[in-house]
Amino acid sequence: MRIVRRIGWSLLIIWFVVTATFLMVVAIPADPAKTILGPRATEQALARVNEHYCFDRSVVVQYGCWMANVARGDLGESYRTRRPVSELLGDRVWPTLQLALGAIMLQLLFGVPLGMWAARRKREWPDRAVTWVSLIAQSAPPFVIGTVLLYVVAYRWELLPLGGYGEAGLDRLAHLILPAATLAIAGIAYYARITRNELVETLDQDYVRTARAKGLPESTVLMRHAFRPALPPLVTLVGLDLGILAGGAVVTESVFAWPGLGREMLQAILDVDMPVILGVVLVTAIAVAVANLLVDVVHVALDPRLRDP
Amino acid sequence: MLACVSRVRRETRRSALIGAILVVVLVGLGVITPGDPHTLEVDRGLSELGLPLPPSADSPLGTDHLGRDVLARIAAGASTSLGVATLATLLALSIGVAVGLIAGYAGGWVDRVLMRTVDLVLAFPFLLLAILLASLLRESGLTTSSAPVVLTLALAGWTTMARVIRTKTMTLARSELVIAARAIGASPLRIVVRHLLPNVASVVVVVAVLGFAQNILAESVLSYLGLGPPPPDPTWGRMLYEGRTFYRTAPHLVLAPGLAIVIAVIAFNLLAEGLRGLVAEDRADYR
Repeated sequence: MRIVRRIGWSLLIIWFVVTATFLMVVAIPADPAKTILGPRATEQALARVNEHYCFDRSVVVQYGCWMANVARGDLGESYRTRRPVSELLGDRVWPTLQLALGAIMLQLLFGVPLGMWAARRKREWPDRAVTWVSLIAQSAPPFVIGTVLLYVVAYRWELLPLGGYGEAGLDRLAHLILPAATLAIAGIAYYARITRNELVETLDQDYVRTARAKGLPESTVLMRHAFRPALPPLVTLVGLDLGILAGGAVVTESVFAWPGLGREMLQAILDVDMPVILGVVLVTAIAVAVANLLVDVVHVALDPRLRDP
Repeated sequence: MLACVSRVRRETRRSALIGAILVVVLVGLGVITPGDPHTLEVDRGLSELGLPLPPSADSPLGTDHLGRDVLARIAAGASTSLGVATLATLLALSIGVAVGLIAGYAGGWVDRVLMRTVDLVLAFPFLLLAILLASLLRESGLTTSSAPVVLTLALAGWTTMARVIRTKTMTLARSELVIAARAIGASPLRIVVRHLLPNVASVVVVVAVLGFAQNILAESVLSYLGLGPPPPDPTWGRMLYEGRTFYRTAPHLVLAPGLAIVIAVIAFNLLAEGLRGLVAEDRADYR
């Protein structure tokens, strides 16, 4: 029953996000017919295009038109490039997904061990170093981190490419590292902080003392006993990140010329290219909803208390 | 144990102090604005090849691609950033505090409706909302002021404030303080304004300072994307965007605004962290 209500609420949110986006885009005083035909189009041509896309009809009709088409699986075509939106999204989803997964992997790979280290040596220099570095990392916008990484690693040291998407395979990996790191740095800091705070609490618990008293090696105590209660918050974080990042990282993708959803959305909004905007927003909203549902499922798997009796 | 507590206190006090000092420096920079951020010094401000000059005695942070003094522009950027963030934070705070107090005190369906609204706004990816609002407000003819940026930041930022204040209000609403006020016949409005508001004030301050840091960060991102406060007022985000093309020959054009943003955000984050510690400490003393 709960799962049904959750799915219903998710659908409502998706609908709300898409509809609110539609209303805001419609309110932008732009002339989409001019976007399609260019500034020197004739009156007749403009009128024909207006009729074809129902720009001359009321907002309600335009909205109904779009919703009916979406229900039929047709997302329309871009005003600017005339490409079908579904095809365009298909091209953009994979790069964004690679970036998102890369960033989340880095966050887990570095954030969690750093947090453990800080918790083990609470109030000593590792703890304080992690706290300060995470404060700095969380205070830097992605374009600052990205540009500095680009300058130092790619330009000065010539270790990695200066941006772009690269060929599939190792070349792709080389192109992926810097943008993924840019996205991940603030996340690493955040994951480290959460892991540290959770562990500091559990390391004081009686059952951890019991485990130590039994003579278990410290690594076993840490991984099998103290770390387990820290898992649900981390799963929540991964889910949130997955949802947000799967919608595209506007700034990072712009800095590194990465052909993902975020850059597409920014360009589409600047061009007032309604079908593309709505398509990207639809994908983003669905990604967030799916990620949230996944988090719930994993939570139940991790915590037996949440299971139905 | 005692030694440990006093050490925590010392640390929170220190971070509050460092944050406060940095904030004062930033505000001072924004108010004094040394030098002239607008004049193009094509003769003196550019090298013979027409490139930006590196830092020197004349201009401590160098000049940009139009020969303008970078330090003067950083200072002017401080006043733009702080101004926008102040207005946005105040606006977000007035919505957030009102919604949080009402939802927390009223409870029931009022609470549910308000918090569902917060959920819906939060379901909107922040940058999508910001870019849409910014381009919507900009195209509506508000191009000559910072109003679109302020509104965008406020509309995206009130939600977290409302949540925090609601939680605090909910615990307070069940306290003897409120029961006593209701017993002597105080109206709900009076209870909220005279009894609840002063008691959530400390939380409001912390939330406001944290929100301020977020607003500076978000404003810089919008500026970088070309949707920030309009020229000629310099902003750090736009300075970095313009300097980005020269990063090979003149890295100071990227480093100076980048560092300015990071330092400003750190300053307010530190201040918030310190204040939070002091508020908690305050409460601990009463126990």
